[in-house]
Amino acid sequence: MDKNDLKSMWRDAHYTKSESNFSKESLEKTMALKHSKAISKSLLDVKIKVLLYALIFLIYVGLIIYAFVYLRLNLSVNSLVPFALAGIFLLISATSEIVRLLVLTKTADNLSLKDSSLVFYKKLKRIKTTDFIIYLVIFYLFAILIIYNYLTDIGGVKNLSWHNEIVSLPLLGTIILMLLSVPWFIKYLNNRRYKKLFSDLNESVRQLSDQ
Amino acid sequence: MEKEFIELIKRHQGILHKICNVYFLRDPYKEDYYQEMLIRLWKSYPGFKNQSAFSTWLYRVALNTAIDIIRKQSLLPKHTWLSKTEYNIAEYKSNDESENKDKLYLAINLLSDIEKAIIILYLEDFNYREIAEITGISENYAGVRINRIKTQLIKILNHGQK
Repeated sequence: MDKNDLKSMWRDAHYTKSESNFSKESLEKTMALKHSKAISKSLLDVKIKVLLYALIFLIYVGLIIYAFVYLRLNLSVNSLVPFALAGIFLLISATSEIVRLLVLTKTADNLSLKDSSLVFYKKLKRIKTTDFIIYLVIFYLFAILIIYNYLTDIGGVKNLSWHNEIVSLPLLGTIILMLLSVPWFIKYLNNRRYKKLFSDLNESVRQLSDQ
Repeated sequence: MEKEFIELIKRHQGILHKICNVYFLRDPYKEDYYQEMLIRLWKSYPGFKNQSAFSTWLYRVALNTAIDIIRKQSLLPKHTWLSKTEYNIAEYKSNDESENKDKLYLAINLLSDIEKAIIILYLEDFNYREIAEITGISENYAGVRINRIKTQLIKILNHGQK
């Protein structure tokens, strides 16, 4: 087969058989939609997850405020750990689904294939960086707050010692280390989650570069 | 604007079918993606400023949509895809009428998403300037890429590829 046969093969292939076309009515119906059925369903799944995590997180925050501000509950550091872990989990789950939704809904269709890939790549990077900075600020502030509490003896945290049976200094150190490492752990998870998308985008840009 | 868009789309629906066949051949969601292309074309239509032919703009948006859907696949775990390695073109059998069409589509299916876009534009008789405009590569490089892809396609069609 010769290279020039490709065009005639393509023409022959589309000469006789034509696919079913949309009528004016079905075109109008389709244009009124936000997305096609399958994509809408997938996006709806993500939106439900976002709402669910956000709702549970808000209830959690409400309960925490109620317990510690209104009822003035005074718990030991040891008892606070499960609460903090639950909050961290809810926060991470909610934001990770929000990021996923943002990535899925971002498009740049009116640009050339190369520009569209580059724009999407930049958007994806910006979303990931913003996500990381938010985690960094939240968890580092949280860690600073615990250290500040320890230094100023708020809530009796200073009673910690190496030999305390309930809360020891190594435990507090571990909690702080955990808090400091959470943003980096999330960054690692996001890198894994978006690895394929990034490599596909990189490959597209590489193939569209004049080299 | 809606009426005008419908008229234009009705005239160019064949293009969308071709793009769907190239990118979503034998995909159970093919019709759905066709619909998604239409929706995204309508959403992007205000951005069409008559600076190029409607078909050029339509190819740009539809190809961007198809590639975007494939890229975001990894974030939508519900969808299942056929593996490219499942095909063996040389051994592929179908009825006489559609054999050439299927063979060609299956061969194109083995190319990368960007190569698919370039070859479909070439097969649809777009010149290098138009291909450069849609893809974002230079005219000279468009020629180079087309030649490479054609060689690759001929090789697949003649010998098959595991």
